[in-house]
Amino acid sequence: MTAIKAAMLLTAIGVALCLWLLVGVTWYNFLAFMLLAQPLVLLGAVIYVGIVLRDLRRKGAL
Amino acid sequence: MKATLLAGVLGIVAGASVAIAQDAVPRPAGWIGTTDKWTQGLGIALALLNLLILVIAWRRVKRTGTTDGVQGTLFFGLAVLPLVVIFFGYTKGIAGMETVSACGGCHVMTPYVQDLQDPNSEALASVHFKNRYIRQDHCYTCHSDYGMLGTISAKRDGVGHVIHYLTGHYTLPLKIRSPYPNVRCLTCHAESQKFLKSAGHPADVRPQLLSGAVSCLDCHAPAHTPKEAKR
Repeated sequence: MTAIKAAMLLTAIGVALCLWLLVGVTWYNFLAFMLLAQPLVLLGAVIYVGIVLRDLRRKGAL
Repeated sequence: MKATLLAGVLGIVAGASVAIAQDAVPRPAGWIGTTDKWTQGLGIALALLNLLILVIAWRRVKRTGTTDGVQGTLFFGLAVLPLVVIFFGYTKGIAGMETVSACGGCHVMTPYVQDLQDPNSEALASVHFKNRYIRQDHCYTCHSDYGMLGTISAKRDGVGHVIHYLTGHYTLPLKIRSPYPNVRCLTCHAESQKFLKSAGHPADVRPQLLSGAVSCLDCHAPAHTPKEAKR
């Protein structure tokens, strides 16, 4: 439960940084996008995939 | 859902109206915006949709846990939409980094941008700007090498400039790091009749220009005439 909430939170921050970039590009939000947004979204996705795999193993599907 | 779509459409329309106001040239009938504006509008709409789905998923997870009913929402909110939003962000961000306003974002560059856009300036960059020898992305066009690696190295240098700016590791007046390469001028000018027929570019001097032994700026300086920059 905590892990999925962490994944959602990280993804939300990453997407919000993307939104900032999309509204108007500056060097600041471009750097934030490159250095923060993408790793956060990736981390969120990795956590989510981990949770899904764990659930599938628990259900005996893997 | 309706609100996010509306926001995306409004983004496109707002962008278009700003462009019309700046250019003061009426758009042709049937004009439906540029790729850039559509990328921006769709990106904003999808980012807002993604955030909305995450809020809904958060509330449902809080209420019922990660039940099968929430899985679809989580899949879209965490695995599908963020990738699409990142794609739009990349598309918009990379293109946005090439604009004059992006280069002028650090205020030490403000005098350079003001000089560039000053119709009374006779600096080389200003002459190119006011006569629209270069249509857009003026700083980037002259300060990046040609080909794929040129654009990558220009953006890498740009990131370096921002880090220097943010950490204060720079000195004034700003100076170009290495001599300006002639190839950036010659890529456009070398095959033009104006260049070839000019008395200033006789045939015996051209090899020296091509090799870089003689700099274009030896005769065509100054490239910029900024007023004093402040930190």
